[in-house]
Amino acid sequence: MKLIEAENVTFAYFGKTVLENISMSVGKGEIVSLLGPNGSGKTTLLKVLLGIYLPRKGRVLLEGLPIRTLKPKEIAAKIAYVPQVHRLAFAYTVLDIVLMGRTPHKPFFSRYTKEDREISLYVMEKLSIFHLKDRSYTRISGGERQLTLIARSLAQGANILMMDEPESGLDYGNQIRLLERITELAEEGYTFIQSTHFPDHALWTASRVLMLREGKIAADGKPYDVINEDTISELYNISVNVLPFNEHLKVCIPAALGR
Amino acid sequence: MILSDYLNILSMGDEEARALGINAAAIRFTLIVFATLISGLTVVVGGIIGWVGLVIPHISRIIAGPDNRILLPVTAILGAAYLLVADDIARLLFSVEIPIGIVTSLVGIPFFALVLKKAGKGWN
Repeated sequence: MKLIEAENVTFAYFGKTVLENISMSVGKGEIVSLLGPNGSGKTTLLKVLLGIYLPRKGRVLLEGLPIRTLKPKEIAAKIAYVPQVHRLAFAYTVLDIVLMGRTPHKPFFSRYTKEDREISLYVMEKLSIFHLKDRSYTRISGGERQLTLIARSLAQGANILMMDEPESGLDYGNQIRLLERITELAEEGYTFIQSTHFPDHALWTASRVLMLREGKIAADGKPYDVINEDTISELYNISVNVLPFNEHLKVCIPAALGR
Repeated sequence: MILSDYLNILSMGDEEARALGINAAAIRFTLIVFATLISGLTVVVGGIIGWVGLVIPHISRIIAGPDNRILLPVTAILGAAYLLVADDIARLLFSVEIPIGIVTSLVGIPFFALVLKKAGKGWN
């Protein structure tokens, strides 16, 4: 069964078409990478799939139901949004941030319960950030912040995680650790839709790649079928070599530097 | 104060709030209506007393941190205590009662200048 589906979605900002006739669907446990140059509509597509933006034409279905008929709470119980690592002005503790994920599950006027706290602490344990619970969100590293935001999504109970360039602002080690986490969680049945600027990351972790160019889908398929010299050079206007490292892994190397 | 959990989430930004299952616009509207109502009623009873609402929340944020669940009650208590002291000064300092707004302004303006200087550095 398809978890989330877009049917002929067209979206425009102030008369400028950002997404044009996008149709796609994502199944359980998939890691979908969105590749595309700046301004190609990756972030917009994520927000349309989240139900934050309503498409001008076409529709988005969440587990078969049109997303525009669902309440924000109902959507939040199924899809979580992991924003780009941000610097908050206010110093909430890590636990407070994770607890925010429990909001869709509590009655409007009530406080977070003991159970909410236990769930939050459990997911923090799972992502090995339990020791950070009383630290201030403004004083932890970028990688720890990203894990905090993922913990919030898990606490939210969502099984689809939308991530907007999750690796941006992370050092190399944290990027790779993040990819490992994502792979582990996908094996547990979580579904990821993430935009990325690194074809390598898509080659290494994605089960599906969606290439966006000027608001249209340029390619959709398995990473090894879709990511090659031709598609990358068409997408980013640079020439690259996509080389096999071993039978499971390929890497993408800029041709101009390889001489 | 009942809505302070939501107030915390609103500080993350509208789209994140929405993704956390919250109707940001509706909550903000409700909060603004109540805040306006409360401050309107206060002015009706107490008259115009400046430089309290500007100064006290900053002090309580330094004391209590950003979490609105703690910040709101601390601000209320601190504000009340501050006004009580200011009122005593206004009534007792001179043989004639001077308007309390003068006292709060005398304290508030230099304090606010200090806060403005600090503002670029962010809260901890």
